[in-house]
Amino acid sequence: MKNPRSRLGIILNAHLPYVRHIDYPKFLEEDWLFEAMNESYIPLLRMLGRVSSTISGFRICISLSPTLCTMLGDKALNERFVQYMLCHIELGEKEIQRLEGNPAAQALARNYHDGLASNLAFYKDACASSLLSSFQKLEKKGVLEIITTCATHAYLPLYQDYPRAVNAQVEVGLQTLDYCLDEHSRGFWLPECAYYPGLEKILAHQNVEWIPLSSQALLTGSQLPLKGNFAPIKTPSGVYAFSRDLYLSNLIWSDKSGYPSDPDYREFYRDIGYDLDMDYIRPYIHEPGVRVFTGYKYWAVTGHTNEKVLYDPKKAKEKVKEHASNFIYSLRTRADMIRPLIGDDPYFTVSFDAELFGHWWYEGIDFLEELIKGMAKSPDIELQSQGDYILGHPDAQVMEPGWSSWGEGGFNSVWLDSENNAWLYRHTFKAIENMQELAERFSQQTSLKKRFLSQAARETLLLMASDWPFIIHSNTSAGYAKNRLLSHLENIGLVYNNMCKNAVNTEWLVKAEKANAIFPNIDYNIFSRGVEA
Amino acid sequence: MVLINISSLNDCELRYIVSSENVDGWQSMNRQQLIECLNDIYGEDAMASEGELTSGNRRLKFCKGLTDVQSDGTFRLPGVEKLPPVYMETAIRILPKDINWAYIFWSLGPNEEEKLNEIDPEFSLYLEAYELDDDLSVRESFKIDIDLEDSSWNFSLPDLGCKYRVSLFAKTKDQDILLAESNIITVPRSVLLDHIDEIKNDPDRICLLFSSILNKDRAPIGNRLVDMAIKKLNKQEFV
Repeated sequence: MKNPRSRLGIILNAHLPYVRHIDYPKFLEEDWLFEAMNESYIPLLRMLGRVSSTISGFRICISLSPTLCTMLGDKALNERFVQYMLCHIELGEKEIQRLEGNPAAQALARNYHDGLASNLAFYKDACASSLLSSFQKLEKKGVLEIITTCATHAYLPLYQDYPRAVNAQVEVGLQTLDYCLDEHSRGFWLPECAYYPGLEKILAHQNVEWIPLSSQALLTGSQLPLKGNFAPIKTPSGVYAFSRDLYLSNLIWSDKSGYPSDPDYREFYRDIGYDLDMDYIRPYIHEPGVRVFTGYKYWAVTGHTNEKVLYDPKKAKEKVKEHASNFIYSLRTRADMIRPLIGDDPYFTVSFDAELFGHWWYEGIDFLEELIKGMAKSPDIELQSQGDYILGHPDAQVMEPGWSSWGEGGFNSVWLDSENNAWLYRHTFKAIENMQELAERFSQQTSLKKRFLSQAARETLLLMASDWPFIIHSNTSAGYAKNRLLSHLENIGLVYNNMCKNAVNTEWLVKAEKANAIFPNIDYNIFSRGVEA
Repeated sequence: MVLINISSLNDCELRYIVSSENVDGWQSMNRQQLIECLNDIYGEDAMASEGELTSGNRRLKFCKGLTDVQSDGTFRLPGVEKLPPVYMETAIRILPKDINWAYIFWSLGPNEEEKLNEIDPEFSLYLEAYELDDDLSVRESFKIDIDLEDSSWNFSLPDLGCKYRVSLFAKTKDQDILLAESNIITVPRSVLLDHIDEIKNDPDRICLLFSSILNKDRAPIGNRLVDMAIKKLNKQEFV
C-alpha cells in the first residue's frame, strides 16, 4: 500500500522536426526519425508495456510533438522505416560474419541484429505499424499522460510580438494531437521550456491546464515561490506551472558527470559507419558514400582516452541498477530535506528529451525500467504525472513565472545568436506579417485559394520551428537547416506574390502540398484571429 | 584524441572535412597531413570534454561534416523566387537575447534611400536607443553611429527592470529625420534581488529557493539573474 511522502514527475519530450522527403529514394535526415523509432520510441513502448503488466499505479508524461505525430502516422515514412530496419538487419548479418574470430564483439553484433529484428516484429505485430496507437494504448492503461507542444516546436519568446502566430502554434499543436490520437492535451510542453510573461493568457485561452518550465523560471518570477520548485504554481490566468528540479535532472543529464558518461556505458560516437572502410560500409550508408551512424557500436565510454575498451553489457546492466538506486536515494534524501521547509510533501519535476533514452544513452530505457520498478517497491515515493498531481492538489500559489528557457544562459541567446542564426528573424517576421496580411485580406476563401492560403499557413508554421536556429547555432546540419528555412520563406513569398495578383500557382500548390503534407485540417484564418496577450 | 576513427576515412572524405573547417592549403595536403590537421582541430576539444553530453555537438559536427552534402538547395519548388536582398519597408526591430544584450536589426527601403539621397547625398544613419520607465517616458538615451552598410547591431542593455526602444534616424546637412521606431522590449526586474536582504539570514529559505537550481556539484544553473543573486548573497557574507 502506497503512502507517498514525495512524488516524482518525469516528462519526456519526444520531438523531431518535420523531415519527410519522399521525392528522394532515400533521404539522410529521415534517419533521425528512424533512429529515434528504433532506438528510443519502440524500446520505450516495449519497456512500458512489459513493466505495466506487473506494476500499476505509476504514470509518466510524454510530449509527442505534432511534427513527430505526423511523421509517425505517415504511410510512406512507415514503409521506409521497415526498409531501414531490414537494411540494418542485413548489416548485422554481415557484421556477425565479419567478427567471426572475435566472440565478444560478435555477441554485441548479434545483440544489435536481434534487437533490430525483435523491434521490427514488435512494430509490425504488436503496433500494427503504428507507434501512435501503441502510445495511446498505454495512455488508456494509465501508464502515460500524453501531451502536445507547439505545432512545429517554435521558440515562443522570440515571437511574442506576434500573438496570432503564437496562438496558431498552440492551437494547431492541440488540434494535431486531437487529429492523430483523438486526445485532448491537458498539459502543454513549452518548446525549450521557453516562457515569457503573458504567454499563459494564450495557453489559458486554449484550455491548457499545465505547463513545464525551466529550473529558474519561478525563482526569477513576479514573486518568490513559497514552495520553491517543489510544488506547482498557478499563473494569474489559471494555468499551473511546474519548474524543473535541476539537481535530480542533472544526475542524468549533466554536462560533466551524468550517469550516461559512466565508463561502463556504451560510447555513442564510435560507430562502424565512421570506423570501417568505405567499400564495406557503402551499401548501408547514404549515396554518394556519405557516412552516417549505423547503430553498430562496440565500444564503452571507457574514459578520457581514445583507446576504448569493448563494451560489456553485463557490466552496463549492473551499472544501470546502481544508478537507478542512486537516483531513488537522491530523491528520498532531497524529499527529507525539503519536506520540513515547505511543510508539505514535495513534488519533483524532471524533464528530458525522450531521445536521450535509448538513442544517445543506450542504457537509458533500462534505467527507466529499473527506476519504475524501484519506485514501485518503495511505499513512500510515487511516480505521478503532472496532470494527475494537480487533480489531487488544486491549491497553489498564484504568481507569474519569469522569462526563461532551458537553453544555455537561460534566455534566448541560443535561438538568437548574432554570429549564426539571428539573420533569419528579419525574414521570418516578414513572412509572418505577410501571412497575417493574407489571412486578413482574403478571409473565408474557398476551393483553390483556400488550399493555396492553407499551404502558406503550413509553410509559416514550419518556418517557425526552433530546430532550424538551434541546428545552425550548433553547426551540426546547418546546410540542411538553412535550406529548409529558405524553402519555407520562398514558398510563403510565392503565395503572397500570387495572391496580390489574384492568382494561384497550381503547379506549386500540388507539389508543396505533397512535399509538406502536415496539418491536413489547418484553417489559414487562424492567422487573422486576434488574441489578447 | 578524436573519437571517430579518422584513419578509416578515405582521402576524399578527409579533404571534405578539412575544407569545411576553412583550413588554408588543404588542397595540397597529403593524407597524413589531413589526418594531423583534423587531430589538431578536434583533438583538444574531444580530450577536454569527453563524456559530456553537450560536447557531443562538437563530435556530432565532425560526423555531420561528412553528411552535410545532400542539402544543396534541393527543396526549391517551381515558381518560387529567391528572397529579396532588401525589403521595401524601412523598419527596425529589437529582440532581447538575455538580460544584458539585445539584437537590433533594421532595413532601409530603396525608396527611402532614394529620397534621402535627394535631400542630401552625404546623409548618414544612426540609432537612438531609449531606456524607458514603466509609463514609457524616456529615462535615458544612447546614440549609436552606424554605417550605411550595417543592418544589425548588438546592444548592451544597461539596466534591469526597464523597457527599451530603438529608433533609426538619418542625419542630413539640415536636419535629423526619424525613419523608423522599433517595438519595445522589457528587461525583467529581479524580484529575487530585491529580496536578498529579507532572506540572507534565513538558511532554510535560501536552501528552499536555491537547491533546485544547483547541480550535484553545487554549481548553479548558468543564468545571470541567478548569478547576480548568489553574488549579492556572498557579498553579504552568507555561507
